[in-house]
Amino acid sequence: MKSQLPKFPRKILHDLCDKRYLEEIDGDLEEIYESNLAQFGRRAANRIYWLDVLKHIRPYFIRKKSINYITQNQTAMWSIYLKIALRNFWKSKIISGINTLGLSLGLACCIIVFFHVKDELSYDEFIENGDNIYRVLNIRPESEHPASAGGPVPLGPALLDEFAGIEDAVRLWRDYQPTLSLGERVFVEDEFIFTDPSFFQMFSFSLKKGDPKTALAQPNTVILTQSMVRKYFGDGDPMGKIINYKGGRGNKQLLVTGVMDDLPHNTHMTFDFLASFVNVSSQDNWGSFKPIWTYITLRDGVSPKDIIAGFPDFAKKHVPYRVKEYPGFRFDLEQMSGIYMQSEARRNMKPLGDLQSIYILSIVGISILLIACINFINLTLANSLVRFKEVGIRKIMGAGKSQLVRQFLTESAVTILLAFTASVFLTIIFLPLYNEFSDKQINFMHLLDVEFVGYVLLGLLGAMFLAGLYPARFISKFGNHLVLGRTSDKIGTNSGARRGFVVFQFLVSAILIISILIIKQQQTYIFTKQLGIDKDHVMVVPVSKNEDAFLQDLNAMPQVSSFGISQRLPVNVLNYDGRSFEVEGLNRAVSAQSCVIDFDFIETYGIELIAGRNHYKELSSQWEFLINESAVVEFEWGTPENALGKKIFLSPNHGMVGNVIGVFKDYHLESLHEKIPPMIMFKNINEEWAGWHREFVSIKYNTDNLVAFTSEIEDLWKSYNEGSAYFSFFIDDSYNSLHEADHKFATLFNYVTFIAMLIACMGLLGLSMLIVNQKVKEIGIRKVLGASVFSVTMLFSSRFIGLVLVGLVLACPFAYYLMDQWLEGFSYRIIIGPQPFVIAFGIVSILAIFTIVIHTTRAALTNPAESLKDE
Amino acid sequence: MKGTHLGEFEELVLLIVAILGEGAYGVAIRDELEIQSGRKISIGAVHAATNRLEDKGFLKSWFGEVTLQRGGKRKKIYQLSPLGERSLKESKDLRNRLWDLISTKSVSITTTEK
Repeated sequence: MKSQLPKFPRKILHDLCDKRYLEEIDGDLEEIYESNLAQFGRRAANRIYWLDVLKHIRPYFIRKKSINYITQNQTAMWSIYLKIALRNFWKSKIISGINTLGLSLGLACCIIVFFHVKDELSYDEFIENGDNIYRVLNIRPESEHPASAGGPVPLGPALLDEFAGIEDAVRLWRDYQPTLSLGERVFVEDEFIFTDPSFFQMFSFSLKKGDPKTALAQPNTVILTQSMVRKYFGDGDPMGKIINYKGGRGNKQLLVTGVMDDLPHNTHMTFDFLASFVNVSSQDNWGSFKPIWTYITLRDGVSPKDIIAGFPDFAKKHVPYRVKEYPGFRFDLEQMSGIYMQSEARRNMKPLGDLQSIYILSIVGISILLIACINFINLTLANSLVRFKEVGIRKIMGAGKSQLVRQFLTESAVTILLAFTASVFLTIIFLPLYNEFSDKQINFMHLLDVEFVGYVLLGLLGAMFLAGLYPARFISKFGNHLVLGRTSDKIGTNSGARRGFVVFQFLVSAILIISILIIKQQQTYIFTKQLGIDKDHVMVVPVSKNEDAFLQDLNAMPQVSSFGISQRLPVNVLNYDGRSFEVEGLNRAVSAQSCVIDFDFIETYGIELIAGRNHYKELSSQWEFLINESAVVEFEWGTPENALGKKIFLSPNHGMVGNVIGVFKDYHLESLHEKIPPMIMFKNINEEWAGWHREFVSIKYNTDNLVAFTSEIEDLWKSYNEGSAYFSFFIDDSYNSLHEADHKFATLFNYVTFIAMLIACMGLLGLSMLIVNQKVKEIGIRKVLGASVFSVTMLFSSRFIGLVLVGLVLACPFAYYLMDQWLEGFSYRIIIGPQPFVIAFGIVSILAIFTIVIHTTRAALTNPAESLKDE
Repeated sequence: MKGTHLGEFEELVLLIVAILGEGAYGVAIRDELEIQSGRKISIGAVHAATNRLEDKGFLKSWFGEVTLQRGGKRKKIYQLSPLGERSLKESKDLRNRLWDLISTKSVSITTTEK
């Protein structure tokens, strides 16, 4: 009678149960099964059979090692395994070298990626209670980047007043490049923040000197970070000293009331100075959204939803103009602990992290390790196939299967441990490089981190079993007949698993290569995109006292082609001045970036007017506005020509009403991640306004001798501005720094891709060695029968090349999808064309063919007399 | 040498093997055990016990004839070894002796006849 027993449990039983007990158990179970079948039906019988099988899985019945081997001395054998492993390692130096190198590169990559990811995820973790601190956002639902982090001055106090659930509100207002002076020492500072006295109650920073409770309670007080203390006071004690402040909030004398440590790099905040918010600004100016970040904490039991529910009314009450301007405008809250990784908001204190690139890097890191492990498996196999005879003889001499497994596992372990040691050294070598371009401070002390050590142990064990067990089991399965007989085709390269390996390796490599090509294209696009302005050869210095004389001197310098004065600069992220106002023909408020310029600004930056005219050089008696193309669209004026002569009510209260006189081509204010906003530029009128908002002098130069030029300009400027802070920078530098994060990502990705490709090629080399080593005799015979070197090479290369091509083809849709996602982050992006795919195809095929063909050709060139002599 | 101590379950199995005589193989032992003791017993437990008892030398075994039942697998038939018989006897003697020592006045237990 044909057995109807459920197959799977029976297989378990047969696989696990020791032969000595199998027949009895198998028979009894079947008897029970049959009687149950007759009595209760199939389902019940099957279920009972399953249970019975499971109940037999106990140590007593599980297959023991072969009897003869139980009595052997295991401890002694381990030292033999180790000895043999080391011998074999030295014997095949090339394979061992490739193996170790590939694996250590993969591991090093993984380690660095691990640190990177861990560090990125650690942002703001050190701030206690970070889950209960919320940052207030404002949301304009229909715009491209709806969320923004800045707010009006009174936002914080008003929230605290009107919402019972809010425990505390703290504002951080970044002042744009104030000039600080202490006696003779004058500096322009980038990271100057005004904040409310309860800053230290909300954020768990501590003070090295001073009392966090009272340090900022009085007006005109300031706290310095340690490095600023060093900069201004050297080794002296700063407490109680006065620093002169000149900036956006006028002139102040600030009393130093505290010193704190420099901020760690892993926080979304950045500041060098914390000055008291008390009395710095009128508290009822709801009129504009400034670089003021408002944070709140909630009382126990209050959920952010409760607060957000009250926001629509709150917005209607305080910022009706915004609600009118943007339908659905509202405030929102986001958890501080999630800002760095998850926030979508713009206008942050410093560039935020990107969860997507974290994902990409993690996947890439793990893929590289996988590629390396697969290589390891393939190379170990390739190498061990040469050791047929050794394995056969061992078996004949009485080695059990598990002993062979152990021997090969030991060999893998030796390689893996070596590779790991090497990878630690590689990491230590690469970390400084990595730190330099990632601005992180990871040193090799992090290698001793408990969590890291844990992961490493886990990873090593995993790798040993993953990469060691498969070859070990595979090899130990060789039958004894193989010793004296021929190699069997079963051990060939046609096994599905190994085909899958190759396809996978090249799938990953190809995805990486296509991606990096697309990333590169986008980079090139960023750096060569027509920005709408000429960013080269422009240097910026602050406006000078005795301006006319300074400008005349400047004009006299032969190296200066032109210069323009402006409130803001074309490349300028933080000093934004978004204004809300009304325009002719539109019954809602609109907003645009505004900038005060003078006559020469347009020429200096090569801004192109597409309609109308520039301002006149002379002081005009009425306001006249230049707008960009985006503004024409935003203000719904149709064509640039149509916009000319339209009225703009910029600030009716101050009489700032005037006509559009010209439309200029859009130029980029920010990185290409951002869309070009509507923009208005205008020239000050009459004497009363003449000095208003004149901040920077942009100088277009025509010399290559920059060192001389910059020092000449500096001397000139200083001769007019005794005791003031001087600074200068080049516009193209500022522009490039906007894309620093993108650039870093591309660089990291570049390295990683290179390593992945390298490892994959090593794997291919290993595989072609595997097949060729097996087929040496076949090649010999083919040659004897008249095959040419070329045809033999083709024969053995073609199947690999086929696999590589499959990997490549599969990679295309993945890579396309991934990169399309990545490019979504840019407002101005390239369209993915066929080019990167073609190039990647080319690169990968050439490398792969090269790797394979080299080895197969060498085998094909072997004299058949050599390969056939010992049969 | 493995212990010669007999567990309760092992003792039961030995007794059942003795009862069944020639027909003492896994399933039969299990069925008889269930009938006699009234508890549910898994075949796995029986297999473990019989094989362990064999290792200890209390049981000896041989395989029966190939039949058409059981998918052609032979039954493994168990029989008490002399050592098994002796241990059973010793265990019974021990209990009897102990029972005899119980003073009927001080303890109010009597053997329940089944």
